[in-house]
Amino acid sequence: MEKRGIRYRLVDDDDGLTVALEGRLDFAAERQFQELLADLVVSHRRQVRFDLSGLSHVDSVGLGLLYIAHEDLGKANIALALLRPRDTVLRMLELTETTKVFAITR
Amino acid sequence: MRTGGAVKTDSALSPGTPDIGRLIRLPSRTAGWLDSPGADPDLPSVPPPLRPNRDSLSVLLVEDEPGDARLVQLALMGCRKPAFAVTHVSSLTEAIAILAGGAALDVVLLDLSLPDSTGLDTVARMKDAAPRIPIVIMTGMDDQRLAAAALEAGAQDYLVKSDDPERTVGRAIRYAITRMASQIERETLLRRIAQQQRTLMTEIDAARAMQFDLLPRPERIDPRLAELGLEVESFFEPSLGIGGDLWGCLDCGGQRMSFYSFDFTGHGIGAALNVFRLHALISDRWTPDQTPAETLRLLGIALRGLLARGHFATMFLCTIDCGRGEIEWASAGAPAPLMIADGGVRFLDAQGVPLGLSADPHYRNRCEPFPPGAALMIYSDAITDAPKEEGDLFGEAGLIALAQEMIDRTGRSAIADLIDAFQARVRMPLEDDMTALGIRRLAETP
Repeated sequence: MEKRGIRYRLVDDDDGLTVALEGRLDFAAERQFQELLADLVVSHRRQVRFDLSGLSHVDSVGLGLLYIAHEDLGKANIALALLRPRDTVLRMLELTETTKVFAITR
Repeated sequence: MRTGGAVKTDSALSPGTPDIGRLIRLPSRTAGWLDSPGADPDLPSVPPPLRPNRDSLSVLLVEDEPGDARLVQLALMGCRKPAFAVTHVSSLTEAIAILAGGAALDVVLLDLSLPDSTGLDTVARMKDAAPRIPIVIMTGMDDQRLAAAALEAGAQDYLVKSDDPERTVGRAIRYAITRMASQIERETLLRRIAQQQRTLMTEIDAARAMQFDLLPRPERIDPRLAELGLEVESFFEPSLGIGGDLWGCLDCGGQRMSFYSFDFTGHGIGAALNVFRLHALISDRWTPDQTPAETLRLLGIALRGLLARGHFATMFLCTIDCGRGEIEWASAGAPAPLMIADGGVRFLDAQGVPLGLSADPHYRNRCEPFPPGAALMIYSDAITDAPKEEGDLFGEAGLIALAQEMIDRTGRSAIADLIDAFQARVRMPLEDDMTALGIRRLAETP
C-alpha cells in the first residue's frame, strides 16, 4: 500500500521554482501541503510550477488545495502552472474544468 | 408611511453611536461546548474530596489480637498532621455494621485473620460493604504473594505487623487514601467519557436519520415512476454515520423527471451540514422549466459565498423526458455517469466546474436519446477512488469493466449486483461517502 501524504522536491530554475510532488494529494496531505504553500507564498518567485508526474491520485480535498494554492500565489503575484499530470489525474482535472483555470502542460 | 427629512433619534441599544443600520453580534458566553451534555445525574462532576491532606482522619481498625491493636493505636496516637481518630472493632461483622450505620470513615485497617473471616475473602467482603473506602491490610508475616493478591482483591496497601508500626502505619494510610482517590478519579473520568460518547452517538444517530429523511421515499415517488415507466435503484452509505453525499429527484410534471446526485469535499459532520444547505438551495432555486445547466449555475453562485476556502460540491443533474425519449444533463465536476444501452456501457460526456469554486460558473446542457431499455448509473467518487487490494485505485477503468462484465453475464446492470461485485474487489470499509443510483427506462411502459 502506498504511504499516506505527499513528498516533494524543490528545483530552483532561473525564473521560478518547480515543486515535484509525489504520492497522493488527498485529505491526508492537507496540512503538509498548506505548510509548503505558506513557504511558496513568501518565496518571492515570479512563477511556481507543480510537477504532478509523481502524483498517483488527487481527490476532492486535493483539488481544493490546488485552488487554494492558485488563489494564495495569485495574491502574491506568483504565477502557478501544473506540469505533466498522469492520465487519471488529468481526467479529474478535465471533469472539473480545472484545465480552464490553471495553465497545464502535459 | 412616508416621512420627510432626516429624523434624529437616540438609539436605545447603543447610545452615542451614529444612526447606521448594522449587525451587532454579541460574543458567546460559554466555551461553545457543554462540559457534560445530557449528564448522568448519578455522575459526580468532580471526584469526591478524598485526600490525605486533612488535619484529622477517621480510621476503622479491624483487629482481634488485643496486643496488635494496641500497638497500632499507640503508633497512630503519636501522629499529628494528620491526627488519627481510631474506632476499634474485633470482627468483620462489627466492622460492616459500623459502615452500614453510615459512619464517616477515611480508611480501614484490616487484619486478614479474624474470628469470622480469614484470608482474601476478608478483603472482598469489606470491599463489597464499602467500595470507596481505602483499605490497608495487616498481615502477620512478610508474605509478598499474599500482599499482592490482597491488592489485586481491592486493598490499597498493606502493612507487615512485625515491622515498626510507628514508622509505617501513618505512611500506609496516607498512601492508601491517595491511591483510592486516583482510582476513583480514573473511574469517574472513564464513566464521563463513556457518557459523552453515548451522547455523541445519539446525536449522530439523530442527524443520520435526518439525512436519510432527505432521500426520496418510495411511497411518495413510486406512483410517478410507475406512470413514467422508470425503475430507480439507489444505494446511499455515509462513511462516518453522516456524510457529504445526497441524491434526489424532482418532478417536472408531464413526462419529465429530474434526478441529481451531489458530493461535498470532506466527510462527517461538516460535509453533512453542507448537504442540508444544498438540499435547501435546490428546493428554493429549482423550477421545472429550468435546464440542468441553468439550475447548476444558480446553485453554484449561491454556494460560492457559503463554503470555506477549498471546499466545493460536485453535482450531476439530469432530466429524463419519457415522452421524447431523451435525457438532458449538465455536470458540475461529478464523476462521469455510465450510460448503459444496447448491451454496451460508456461514460457520458460530463464536464463542469464544481459548485462553489467559481463566482461566475457556466455549464453546458447535453442531450441524447434515452429509449426504453436504456439505463443510467450515477455514482460518487467513493467508487472510482476506492483502493483495490493491490493498492492502486479502482478507477473509471475498473468500474466500466465491472459494469460490462455484469451486463454480459446477467443481461442487466442492477446496482445491487454491481455494488456486491465492487465491494469484493476493493479494500473495505470505504473511507468516503458512497452513493450509487441506477435509473432504467422499462422496456414495456404500462
